[in-house]
Amino acid sequence: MNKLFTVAKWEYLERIKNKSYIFMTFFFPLIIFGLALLPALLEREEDLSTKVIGVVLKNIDIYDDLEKSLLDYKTKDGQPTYILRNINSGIDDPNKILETGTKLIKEKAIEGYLYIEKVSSDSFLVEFYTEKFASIKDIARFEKVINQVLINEKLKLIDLEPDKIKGLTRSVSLKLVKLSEKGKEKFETEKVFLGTFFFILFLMFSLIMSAGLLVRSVVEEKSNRIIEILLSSCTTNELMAGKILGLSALGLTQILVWIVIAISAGGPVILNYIQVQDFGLSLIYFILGYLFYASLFIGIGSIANNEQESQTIMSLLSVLIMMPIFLSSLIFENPESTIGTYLSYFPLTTAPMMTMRINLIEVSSIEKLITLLILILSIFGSIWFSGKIFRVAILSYGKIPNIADILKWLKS
Amino acid sequence: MLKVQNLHKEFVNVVAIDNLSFEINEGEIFGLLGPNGAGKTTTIRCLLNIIQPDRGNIIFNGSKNYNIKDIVGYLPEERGLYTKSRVIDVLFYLGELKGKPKSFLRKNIFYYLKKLDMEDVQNRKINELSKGNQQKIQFIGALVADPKILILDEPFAGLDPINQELIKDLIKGFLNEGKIVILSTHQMEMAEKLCNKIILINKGKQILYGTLHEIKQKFGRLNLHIKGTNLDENLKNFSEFESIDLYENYAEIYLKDHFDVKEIIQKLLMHYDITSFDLKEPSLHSIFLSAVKQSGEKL
Repeated sequence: MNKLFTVAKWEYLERIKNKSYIFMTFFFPLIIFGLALLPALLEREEDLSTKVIGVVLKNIDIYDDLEKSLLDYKTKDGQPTYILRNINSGIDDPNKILETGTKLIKEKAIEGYLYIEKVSSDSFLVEFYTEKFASIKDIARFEKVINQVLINEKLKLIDLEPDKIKGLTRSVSLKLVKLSEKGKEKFETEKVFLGTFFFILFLMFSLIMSAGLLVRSVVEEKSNRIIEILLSSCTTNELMAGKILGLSALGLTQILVWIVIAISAGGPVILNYIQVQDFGLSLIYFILGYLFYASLFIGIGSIANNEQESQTIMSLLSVLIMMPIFLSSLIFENPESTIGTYLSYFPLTTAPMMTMRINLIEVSSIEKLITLLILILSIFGSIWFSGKIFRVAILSYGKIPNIADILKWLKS
Repeated sequence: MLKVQNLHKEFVNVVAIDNLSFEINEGEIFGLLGPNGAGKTTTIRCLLNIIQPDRGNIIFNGSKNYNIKDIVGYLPEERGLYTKSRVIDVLFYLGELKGKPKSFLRKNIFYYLKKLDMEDVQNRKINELSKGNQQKIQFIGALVADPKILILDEPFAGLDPINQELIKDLIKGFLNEGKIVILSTHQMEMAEKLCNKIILINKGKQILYGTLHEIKQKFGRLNLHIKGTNLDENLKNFSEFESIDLYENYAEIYLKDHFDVKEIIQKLLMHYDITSFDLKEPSLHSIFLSAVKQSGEKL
């Protein structure tokens, strides 16, 4: 038992110093969160300076309405973000308008100009002329404001007051209340779906990372033959279990760091978007699922002889790991589906399926108990399976064994 | 004493070890010899309990109840260490895997690093060391937990003469403490110089076994090297000679068994002007070659 921990400690401490591990642990989440949060941050970023926007209106008079609506956007100092400038007073010739507009842009008197023409009673031509790429944020705001103003114009045509319309067409939001053993629970569908999805995504991500670590660790020791020295000091079971423990701890450390980074980077924001109904039980499924997969991977990984072969094996394992992600849409669509129930009893998908189901629907205690038992037994099964393969594979060099060879090893 | 009784191991359709038995006393270097594929590695793996033999006993100091993994140090033929790790960390790890405490290991690690003149490399990474130095670190790794039995597979391969001498000194020091060394090698000269007792195996079977002296007496024929001025082809007609390599003024004669060397020399002196003669024991190398050849014919 002590030797198992010696192996685990070595695997953990040696690999935690590894540069690629450090990169993946600390910089990768920053990149991912950066990419994910960038649009939101951009959106939230306050406008820095006031922009002058030219306006050309043809057959329509909405200048005042536009100006009023755009006044809602303010810069950091409380000044209006957009000031409008009418640039077609008295000019009708399109070429002339273009000329004036271009000149003003060149002189930097305006950022660009909006061209709005009423073509017929219910169709409009709306264009924005600019010298450089306009910011997506500005475009989105113009679009929103112009649409609003034009809709109001149309409503006025049929004698309807826009404010009344707003009141009449206000939508209601459906709030879900989940009835469970604990009583009434507020249930925000989107948050729970997202929370559950993140949970599974985390499981899959950490598994892909750990699978890589496990396979590489065995292949490295196999290819430099240090495995024989190790086996002269400990048993194959101690070595295998030590590796599973040490490298799983390493994978979970990574997840923990990611979570800490995520919470400290945007804690309250993230918690606004996600919700996990049954965190404790989800975590148990997570850890059991993790151990099951990890113990399976070390056996499969031990048949590789070199880095190249381990890459091939890794890509196959990744498909296996990603399977629940593909299946998750089935469950999200209908958490009560029969296929979801069946997949909960299939060890390879038990952990992700159950995580989804316990969070989305009411699952009976018996079903929870049975699936937990399946998972625990599967862990023992995969340790046995991997142990049999590991024992022979780590001392065999040469070609990758075929199924017949592996069956022979399992029987021996 | 390490006693191996009727060790037997079969893989699918192949007998890897066929009823091997041998004994090694404290303070002895035991040579495990044989051509490639003879079953040496399988024997070592059985001794190390890396693979389970089908039959047979391995008894240490009269008992079967011991954990061989805690009392043995092993240097495999294929050399490799964690190349990206520090020397000191690797040595601690190998020692801790033997269940030894850090304080004990620290003392041993520094003792051996000093002895092999490598104190300055302790904080370096393995891949920053020369190949010879990596090999010495691996040797220290086998010794660091102060084992009672040391199994060395080709320990001198790739080492320069100076380092070979250093390693030989370490082995001798180890033996002086009354411990056991099992040496597996193809270098017959080295085995001849170092081993007290040897076993020669081929295709899993024992071919020769005993002390070096016993084996030379039992299986080797004496060689007579003579120098003379009038040596000729007639020498080949001597019935006492097994074979002869004849040169201008020199001949190497392989004697048949059971002939009195004194009488042969007298007979030679009667016919030739012999200026010098030298009686040599057969080398382990020649015994190895002829024994493997004979066993191959028998098999």
